[in-house]
Amino acid sequence: MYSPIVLDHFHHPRHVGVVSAATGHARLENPVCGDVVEFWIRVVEDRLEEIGFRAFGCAAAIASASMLAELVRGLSSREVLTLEAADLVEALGGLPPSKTHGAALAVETLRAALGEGVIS
Amino acid sequence: MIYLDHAATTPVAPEVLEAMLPYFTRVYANPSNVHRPSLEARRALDQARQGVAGHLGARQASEIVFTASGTEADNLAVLGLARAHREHGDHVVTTRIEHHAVLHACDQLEREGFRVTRLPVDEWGRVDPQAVLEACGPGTVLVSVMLANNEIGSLQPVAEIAELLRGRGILLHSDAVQAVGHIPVDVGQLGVDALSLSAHKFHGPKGVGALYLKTGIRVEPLLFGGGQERGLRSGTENVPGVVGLARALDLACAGREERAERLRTLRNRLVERVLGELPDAHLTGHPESRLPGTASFVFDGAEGESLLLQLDRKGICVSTGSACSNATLEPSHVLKALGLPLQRAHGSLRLTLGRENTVEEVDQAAQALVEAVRRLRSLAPRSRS
Repeated sequence: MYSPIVLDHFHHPRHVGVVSAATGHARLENPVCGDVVEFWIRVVEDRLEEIGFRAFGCAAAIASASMLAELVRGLSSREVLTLEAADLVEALGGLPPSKTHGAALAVETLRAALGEGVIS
Repeated sequence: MIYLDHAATTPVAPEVLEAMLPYFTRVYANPSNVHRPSLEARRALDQARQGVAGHLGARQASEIVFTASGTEADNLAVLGLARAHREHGDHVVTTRIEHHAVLHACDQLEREGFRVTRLPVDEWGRVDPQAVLEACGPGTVLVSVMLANNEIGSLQPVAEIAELLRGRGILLHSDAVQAVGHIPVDVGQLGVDALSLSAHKFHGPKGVGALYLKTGIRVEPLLFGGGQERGLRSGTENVPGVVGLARALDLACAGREERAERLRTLRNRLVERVLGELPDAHLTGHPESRLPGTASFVFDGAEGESLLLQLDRKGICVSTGSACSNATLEPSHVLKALGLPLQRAHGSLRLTLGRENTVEEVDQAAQALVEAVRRLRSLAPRSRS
């Protein structure tokens, strides 16, 4: 049911953990299914220099956070904000329809971390 | 592969397959005719019926109705008994942790104008017999309570419920799909009027089940046609399937106690290892009064489907009832009925052992499970408290 890309990111997640000297942080939860995603970012001169995540949830939630971190590293804030959940789903080689909320939660959490700009 | 999903289905035993094979190729005649090959098929059917009736403690072979699944047996009991007794009342009592084959059949009865009471269970997943009695009123025609739960393995006090209902003119059905072949099931001792079973749960083939229906009790059929199974289940009989069901039940009942004891020992070893090595891990279901092979857990900070996928990668097959594993995004109705906090219900995992599992396999699975939980916890956001 999961693409090889999703399984790869689930079994070997990239960018796990807290980022030092983070300039932004957010943690969001999907109240329905219980998935939780947390991002730390360090933005330097409008470049997303470093990103780290922790996630609780199904393979889709974990792989989404991992893939998103990979996709956005080195991008400008504006470039990050243009990324949609659909782009993430595509990068993952697709997600089952009942799992796309995992990608949406990751995108939303990262946007919150960018918007926040300060560590909470 | 380490297969620990026997509550989902079991492999067909070689002896069962062997018993079935002639009925695909040599004795293929339709049992409803009167030529000699048909009579041979009919004899096989009669023998199977006799055998199943004997193992269940039924008084007559005619009390066994073969169906195409456990689900069909449950539907025939719930829908068929309620509809056939509509003139006596419009109320059905069941529990919140029944299989969907019973719960969704009850939903259908509601659409037809019946009233349904779905009783809560305690934290171990057991319904209070007294609560069943109190839920029954003058309009109650049917009570349906499963013998053993498929997700957590808890056994229900069906015999006690039967005792309380005695003489009140209320029919009692029990979904014994998870129980038959694994724990003693005697319809006389249980005091039930109807009882469902499914062959593939005890090393028989898929696509065949049976309903025990006490003599003299009316049931409205679900299928209409050639009038097979005393008119209660039309459709040409699945002779190889029925032969397989009967042979599988013979094997399951022979040496059942020794096998159950072995499974209990293996299951307890698994549970002790997992709970001993992991903090914030809990057994779900009743600690003692449960199916011998069922170990079911919830883990804080590790989601069930993620656990399942990690074990699958190591060739270990298990099940989960977590929210992420189904389209509604909600934990299973059984986990909700236990009153588990939502966050905890997300980390549910069921390991169900079978006769072919070894100590080594159980140890390997326990170790893999402990590692999988630790790994997921290391990825999870830290608790904010």
